[in-house]
Amino acid sequence: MYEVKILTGNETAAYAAMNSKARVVAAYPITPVTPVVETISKLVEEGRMHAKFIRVESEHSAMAACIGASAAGSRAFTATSSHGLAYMHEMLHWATNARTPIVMAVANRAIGPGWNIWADLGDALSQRDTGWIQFYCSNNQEIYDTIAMAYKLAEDRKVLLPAMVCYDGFVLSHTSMPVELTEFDDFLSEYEPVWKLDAENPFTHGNILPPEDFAELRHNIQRSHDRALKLMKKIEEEFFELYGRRTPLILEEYKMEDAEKVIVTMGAIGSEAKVAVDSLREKKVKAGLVRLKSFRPFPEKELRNLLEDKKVYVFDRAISPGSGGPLYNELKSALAFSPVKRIIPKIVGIGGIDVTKRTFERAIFERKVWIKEVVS
Amino acid sequence: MKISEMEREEYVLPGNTSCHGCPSTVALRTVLKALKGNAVLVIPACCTSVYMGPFPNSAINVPVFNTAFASAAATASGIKASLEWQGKDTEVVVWAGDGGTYDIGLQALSGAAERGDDILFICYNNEMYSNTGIQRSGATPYGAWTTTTWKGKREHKKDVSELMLAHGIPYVATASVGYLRDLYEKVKRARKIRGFRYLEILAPCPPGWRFPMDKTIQMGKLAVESGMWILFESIEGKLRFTGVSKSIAEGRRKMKDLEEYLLSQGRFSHLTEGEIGEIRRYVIKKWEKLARLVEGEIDAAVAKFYV
Amino acid sequence: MLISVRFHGRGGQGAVTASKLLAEVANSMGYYSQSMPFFGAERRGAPVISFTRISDEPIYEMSQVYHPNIVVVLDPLIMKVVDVFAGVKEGGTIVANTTKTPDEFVFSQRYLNIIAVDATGIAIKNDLLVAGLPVVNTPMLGALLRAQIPLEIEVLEGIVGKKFGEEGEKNVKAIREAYDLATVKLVRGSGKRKYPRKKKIKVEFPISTPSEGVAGKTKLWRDFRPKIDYEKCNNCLNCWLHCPESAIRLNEHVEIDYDYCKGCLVCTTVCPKKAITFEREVFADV
Repeated sequence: MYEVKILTGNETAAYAAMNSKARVVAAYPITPVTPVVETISKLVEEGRMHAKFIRVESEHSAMAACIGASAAGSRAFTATSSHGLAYMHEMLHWATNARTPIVMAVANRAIGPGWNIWADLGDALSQRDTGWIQFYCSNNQEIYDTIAMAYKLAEDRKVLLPAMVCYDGFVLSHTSMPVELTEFDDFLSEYEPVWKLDAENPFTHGNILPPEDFAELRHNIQRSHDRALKLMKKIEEEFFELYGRRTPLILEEYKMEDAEKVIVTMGAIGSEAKVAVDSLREKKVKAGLVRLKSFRPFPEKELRNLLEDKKVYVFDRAISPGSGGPLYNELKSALAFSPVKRIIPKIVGIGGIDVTKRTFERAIFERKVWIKEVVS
Repeated sequence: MKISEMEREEYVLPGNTSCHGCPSTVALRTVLKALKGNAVLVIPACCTSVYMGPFPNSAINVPVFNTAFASAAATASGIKASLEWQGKDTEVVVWAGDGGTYDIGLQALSGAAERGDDILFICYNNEMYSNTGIQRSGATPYGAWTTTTWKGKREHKKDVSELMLAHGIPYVATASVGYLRDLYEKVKRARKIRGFRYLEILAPCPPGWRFPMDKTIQMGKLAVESGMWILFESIEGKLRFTGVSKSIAEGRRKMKDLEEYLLSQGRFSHLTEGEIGEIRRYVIKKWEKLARLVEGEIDAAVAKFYV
Repeated sequence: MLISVRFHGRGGQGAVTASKLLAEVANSMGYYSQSMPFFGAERRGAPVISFTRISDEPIYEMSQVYHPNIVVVLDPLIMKVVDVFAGVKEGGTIVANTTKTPDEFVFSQRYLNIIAVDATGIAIKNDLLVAGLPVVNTPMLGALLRAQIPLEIEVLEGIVGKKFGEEGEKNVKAIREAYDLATVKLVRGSGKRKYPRKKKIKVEFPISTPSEGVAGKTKLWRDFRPKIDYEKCNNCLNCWLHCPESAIRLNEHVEIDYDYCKGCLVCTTVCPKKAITFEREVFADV
């Protein structure tokens, strides 16, 4: 059963939360994710979304409330961006160690000062050490599907980790596209918690954890990420069987069979990159694209296999000052002992600079690492 | 309420790592008995989060969810929303120190109160950050020694229980470990009300205030008897003094001399006459303010209750 | 040469201070030194551990001491709950505050030097008290210097004398007395090494179960022991209600649970019949 609507990325995220049967939502407005909060608020008040909506007074409280709700046995959802994501940083760590499988929509936006409300993946990438699963989407349908798939993955007994579903601010959050609003009853049932707060069975969650036991917990979390990667393939298949749509969870390949120069990137610019690949092919360049979808867990093996013997151009829409583009750094480490021809960093789209197919072309033919203007 | 009628089950188990004479364990024991253990406790960073002991055991025999320092009220809101969704009637109780209430926890507290989330927020107030040593908090009184106010705090404390009155919530009350039966009854009354409820318990701390470990209960009484701590209760906006504070307000009992209270604690041992005078003025102003809030039940005249 | 020392004490007895003082003494004599306390729940009476390393070369170790040459036990009570002999090198030294003789010590090493001294008695004799409790850490440092350690007692006396102001003189006297009176003997042990293995717990979630005694039997924390006079007690239950430790049980009559009572004596202040008295706690010495 489905309905196709023309929706913005934000509206899509809200509908996905509704159809994924999120039961407690605690969220705070921030540009450019605010419409998610507004839409959910409306859907709940109209009785179309069956959930409790907590109008928290900050993002830190939003994540705290989600953790509480998840701990008490409910499927929890929130959405944020940029400064809001940074504000809840402490609680992101908390959600991971607490093993609460929350799903959060993140509309990627630059962090100031000066105030910059436009697309930049730095906000989510700077949270890469918090233990959250991270997905980067490239169109609105993908946002919709990924939120449901994220719950399925996160709540699995072998995973039990929170997950963020990211999409470029304004570029996807405010752009309207047709989205098939699949109902997920066959795919996702009500949340069945492995543990929950219950007056009948008192236990204490989160008290002092001595060093060796803490290390066990952290190792377990790492193992859960490894297991998540394996489970992603199964979930992709199951989704395809049920709904006939191939929504990747790990990565997407485009014209890779005979590619020599490969673009590796994430997010919305990964969709633009397909156009760039076609354009390059017209110019007789054997171009290909690997659009990475899961940044955490980082699919080292899959990337190594795909990029063997290729010349790789990594396009980061973020910068880790003092080091380089985060995607470039992680990919470089992953490919360290593999026979990849070359791996070249590029920094594009910072602070919302629009990225076109020409941006990719110029970057590949120039030596500059940073492209700081629109190439039209 | 007779002591023999109180709940006998122990929810705070012995052999925990609290200090000798700890007021927090005393208060928590009474609170959980009043709730008959039918509660989920939300505990931010504070002494309790440490004295419950390390994994794999815990000294508290009700569900406990530890949470980050700033987020007790918000976490509680989330837990309550989930329990409500599941149709469960379990009380969600925040058990926080003054740090997690007055300072870093204030935002979440105010947010949850303004939203009217159905939570019982209890602050056990020992007027400093004691879990990290003895540092000043927004609840530390003027003149008190702490490790961040070696010469004594220069500012008067703020009063979050008054702040909660301004939030217009259905239940606000203060209590003291010196009067455990009063505390028990207040918790029982709060339990019957729906909406955001706030209770603040004065918890005199022997190592932090520097008095002998056996004097905890007596100090809790002396604080009220000397007027430094005022017992009141506001139900659906109707405010009244309670217990010894009521007797004082109605002129039936004289306040004990403030100096008896102050100088029995090492943290005030360096106070000058001038500083004691400053504290006296502060106490009078507090009484006057509260007396005016208590509509028409007493005269707001100063002379009536000043020793 | 690297000498490592482990100090065992109860919170409030100055094990950490003793460890630091030892490092200071070594440093004044031109050695490299390091003092490292181990943090658990630092409350009065709870077991405390501190380590000191002394070397004639720079010390790079930044971990705890697991195989000390010397162990200092400030309180015989500690030996009831902590294995003070754990990891001590063969032929190493135990400096114990005790009224027992060296021969009475039982351990699994083949040989250990035992230095026994009644530091508590010496402290009381010299009126070396803080808040009514004997200061044992300084006299124990005096006894420690009878071990194979190249430090001079005069240096210790100098540092302590200066550090503790008015009390300095008493401390110095106690140090010298403990040094003189300590009994030193090479004692034979069982020779049967024990290697206790810690059970690995699977940790998927940070979840704990409620239990009594998370800090063990906290009777160890007791310096004073309350006693109910049942002739005077009318079972009003005030002591039960006010006990911070939940250590008063409601059986036929109120009963103090001496396994957990920390001796805070709050009960003595709330009994309307003054039926609870107290005395110094005296555990059977080890």
